[in-house]
Amino acid sequence: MAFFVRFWGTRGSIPTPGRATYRYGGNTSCVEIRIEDKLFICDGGTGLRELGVDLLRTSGGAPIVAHFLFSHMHWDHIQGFPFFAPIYQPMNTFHIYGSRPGDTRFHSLLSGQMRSSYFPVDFSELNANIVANELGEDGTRVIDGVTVRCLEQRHPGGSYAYSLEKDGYKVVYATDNEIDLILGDPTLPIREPDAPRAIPADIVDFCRNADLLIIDGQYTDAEYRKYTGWGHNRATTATDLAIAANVKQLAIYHHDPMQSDKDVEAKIEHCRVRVAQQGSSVFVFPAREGVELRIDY
Amino acid sequence: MADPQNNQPPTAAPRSTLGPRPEVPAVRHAQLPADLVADPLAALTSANEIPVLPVQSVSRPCMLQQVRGPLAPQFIELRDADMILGRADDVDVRIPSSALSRRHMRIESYAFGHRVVDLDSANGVFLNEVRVHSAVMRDGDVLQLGNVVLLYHEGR
Repeated sequence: MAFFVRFWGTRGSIPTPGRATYRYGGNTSCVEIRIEDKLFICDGGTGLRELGVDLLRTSGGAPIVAHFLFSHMHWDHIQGFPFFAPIYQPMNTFHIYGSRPGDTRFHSLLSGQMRSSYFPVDFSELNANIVANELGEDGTRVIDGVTVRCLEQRHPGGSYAYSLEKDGYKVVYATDNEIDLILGDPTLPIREPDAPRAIPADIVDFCRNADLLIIDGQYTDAEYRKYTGWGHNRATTATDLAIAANVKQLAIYHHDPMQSDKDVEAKIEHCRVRVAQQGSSVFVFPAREGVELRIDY
Repeated sequence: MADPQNNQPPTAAPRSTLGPRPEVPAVRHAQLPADLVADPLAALTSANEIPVLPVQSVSRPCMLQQVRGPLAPQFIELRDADMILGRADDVDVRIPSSALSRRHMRIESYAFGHRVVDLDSANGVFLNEVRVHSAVMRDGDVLQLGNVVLLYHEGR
């Protein structure tokens, strides 16, 4: 048994095609997590379009069933949905999960972006079976043998992180959160930028011992000073979380649209230096479009 | 255009009128077609007209440059078809390293380049230090397979 995790979109906020973002990609948030034959899709940013193309190519005409776990409904997390070709085929089924019983907000908001003023095909005209589904009372549900949990995050309008666990393996998807606003000592990063930051215990517990943490690390420390309150982490704070939670691999995700490939690499290097300074063995790397990881090594 | 202040005639020809045929330096690029090398402006019909020359693109295949491990240094040209790399005798790219699995990695060709896939190898495929199951390649990427290090060059 293995988890296969593939990045289809790693950019934050808005698609950024072009030479400056060629290596790490310009499509917005979308990650495919495949556990045996079960398919989970975290967010439906513009990267979702290419995932749809790939699913049609590899399914060979067989029905496609997938579980969508949306962090939230901001544009960069849903814009690919109307262009996800499998939703137009009647034999396919897609589950859209709410965080609690009766929470169908994501299902209804997705349909809202397909009203005729925004898109020529109405949600009701989709041929696939689009199911409004939900997690349990405690934000947990076992889906096809995979334990899925959600955690509410700090982001304008709210957002959710998800953990997926099976057979001792754990992957956490946690984008669009601003942990920096809820640190134990919010002024510490200014006074002592290199000092480990006090991450709230519930977030550390949620990520604890993950084999892979995919997390919003949009900003460098310098950028964060300008964009405090915009709903995204410093990459260095994401790194401190990974260290505190004893994560094995940390994928810095949701790259800022102003960051070139070189900027992303400099951001990651800064995180690696931080890991070394704290004597940790967390492996930090930049989430990159087109890369697939296998989580059982 | 004349200066309305002093009413003097223009001192330079308008941009839309070309002057006499220019001196053209010898083209040294060895891969350009011979006729173009001999006289790049041979199709010129008059001193004041320069026709648009046909585009002569120079294509170059995608390559893996092996920089470390047995047989290095060498260039491996990537075909427009899937290729298997490993240490077995019957693979497309054989590198005799004990650190490689018999069938270590598949190199898939697709419309925009190449993708590599680890074939359950013992020592894995590392892309720029990250162990990957598969990855779409970008120019300048470094692949490490055991003691074999390969640099990916995109074609054009």
